Amino acid sequence: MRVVVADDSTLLREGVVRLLEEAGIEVVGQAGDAEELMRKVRAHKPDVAVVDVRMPPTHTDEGLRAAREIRAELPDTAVLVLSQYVEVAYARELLAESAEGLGYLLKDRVADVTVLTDAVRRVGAGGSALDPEVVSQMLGRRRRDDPLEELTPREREVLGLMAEGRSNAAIAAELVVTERAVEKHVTGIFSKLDLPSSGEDHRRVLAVLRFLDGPGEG
Amino acid sequence: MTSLRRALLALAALAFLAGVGAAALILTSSHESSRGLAVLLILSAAWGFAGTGLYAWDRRPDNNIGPLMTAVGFAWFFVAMTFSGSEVIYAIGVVGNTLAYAVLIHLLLCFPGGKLEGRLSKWVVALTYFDTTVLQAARFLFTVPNNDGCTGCPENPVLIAGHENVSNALNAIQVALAIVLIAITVVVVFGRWRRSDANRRNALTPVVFTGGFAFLILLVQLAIQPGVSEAVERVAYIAAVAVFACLPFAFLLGLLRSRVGRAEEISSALSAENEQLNAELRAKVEELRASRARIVEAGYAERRRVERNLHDGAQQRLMALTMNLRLARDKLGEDPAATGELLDEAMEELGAATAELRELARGIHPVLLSERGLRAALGGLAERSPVPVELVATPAERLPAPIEMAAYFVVAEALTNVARYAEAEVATVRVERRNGTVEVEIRDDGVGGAEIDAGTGLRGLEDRVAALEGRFSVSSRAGAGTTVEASIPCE
Repeated sequence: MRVVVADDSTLLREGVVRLLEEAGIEVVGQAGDAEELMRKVRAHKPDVAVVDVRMPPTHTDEGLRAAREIRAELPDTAVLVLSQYVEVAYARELLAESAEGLGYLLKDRVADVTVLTDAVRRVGAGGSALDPEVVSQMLGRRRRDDPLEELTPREREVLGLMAEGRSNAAIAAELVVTERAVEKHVTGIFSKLDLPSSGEDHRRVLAVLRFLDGPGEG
Repeated sequence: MTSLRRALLALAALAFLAGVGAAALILTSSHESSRGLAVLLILSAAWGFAGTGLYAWDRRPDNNIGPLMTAVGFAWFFVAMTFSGSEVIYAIGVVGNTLAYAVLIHLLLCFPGGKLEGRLSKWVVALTYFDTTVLQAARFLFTVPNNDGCTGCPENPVLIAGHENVSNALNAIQVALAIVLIAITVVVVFGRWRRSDANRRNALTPVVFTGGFAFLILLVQLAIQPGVSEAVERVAYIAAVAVFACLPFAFLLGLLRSRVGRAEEISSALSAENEQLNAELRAKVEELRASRARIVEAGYAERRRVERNLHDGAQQRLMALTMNLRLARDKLGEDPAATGELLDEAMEELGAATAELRELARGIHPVLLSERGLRAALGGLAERSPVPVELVATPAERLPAPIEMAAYFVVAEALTNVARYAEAEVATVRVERRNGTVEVEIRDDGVGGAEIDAGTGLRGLEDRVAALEGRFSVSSRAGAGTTVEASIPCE
């Protein structure tokens, strides 16, 4: 797996590079700003770009914009966005059209190397990765006309872990149930959320998008 | 209603009642033949002057014309009293009989400004009052009504009998003086009319001609007083009263046409308005001073809060972390299991410290707001609120940063209060831009009873909104939920 890492803080960038290399992931390029990132991505066509949200020149949302640009221009390159803080609105924005090959993680997670490398591998394989913080915010919210209202608490839990990008096996391990039981919950979620029948992977992504549905106006 | 307006209405009621009384007196008179005519003439003069006078008084409170006209009206009631069969009332009536003419001359000479100008005018007015009060009263002391051309009149209760020659002499002096004073008045007023500019002449014309005619008739009446023919005397009397009845309307017309009066009115209105503006301005300055002090204080309070959070939170955690790492280093090599545990603890502390710093940063400056605007930021607030929040309306477009900030903090603080105190089922948030203002409304269905002064941060919001020239209000009846509203100008 080949990766490009973009972060304007050299300290953090090199930390991420070292963690990834130790986990056997090849880092083919590094960038300090969005422009350099695009150059490196176009040159190396990596499997994954790991991108910091805030970069020069404006230190606002360069990373998010670069992520969209990369997904549009090079569909084969997945993007994992790292951020100092997570906002549901940004997650929604990033994954609005498709959650395939996209991830959004708190920067803190790099402290746990397995979380980081798992996420890189998952998005690299066309899956998604949402930070547990976003997931817990979504699960913790209460609102009227919630599409998730119909789900049982257990199904909500499973959906949350799905949104984080976990596999059925990982979910089963987390919840201490059998994989078979998780499969049943997943089928229940798909039918309750009225997701069109298509490939299992695609349905998982659709479920995540439904999960992220913004609070409606009106 | 102003106190002046109340007083004027009381005077109007008094004039009405006096008129009714006067009519009753005249109609039951024993010494007057054409009673109906007398009622008509006297009431039209009295009510005419009193009515128009009160109206003028109301319109131009600073001008003496109104009060003087009203006084003329009331003075006419003395004339009505001379019709009484009662000695006392008759006597009062006779003594006050000519007062109306004196006030009228006063009125003419100070029209339309309301102030006597020049020494001559002042002398004329003073002598006129002397003639109609002192001389009139003095003459009455020596007058036998029945011998003075008033057949059937009551007896004079204060008569000093046997001095009819004194009465005749005083009468002659009175009449002569009156003729001179009236003549001077006519000359002065006419001269003033001729010399005045177009505006002033405009005001004077109706008064000068009606008044001049009235006094001309009065002069005739005075001249023929010795009584050649009763019929002529009577016609002159009726004509004089009739013209006097028209006079008040001439005065009113003149007053309303007068630019002088108008200018005074405008300047008095302007000065009243000015005073009010000044008072409002002073109140506003005071309010601004207080709110500026509160904003500065709120800034300090916020710094204290940040300092306390840093000190109690991240700083404590980092210190614990340092200690854990030192312990881990000491145990390194001798007790790997304990070292691992200590490092795990250290990582946990570190994670918590990072999370705390993140939340603190979010509280200081909501990044989502500056990067994505109100809709996204309010969405974020709604997501994090423990009470379900319905976003009824949020602006799609970006607004000026200070307005976005104020609206955001109003909603954030209000939702914090909803979560803490309201015990609400649901809260709705509406932020709309229309008619040059941004309207912010947060409504909940909770227990109500919130107050701006109760230290719930609402005062700070009010100041924040006021700093943008906006209005802020909280309505929160106990049991009826709370509605926090702000409207901020936004062109």
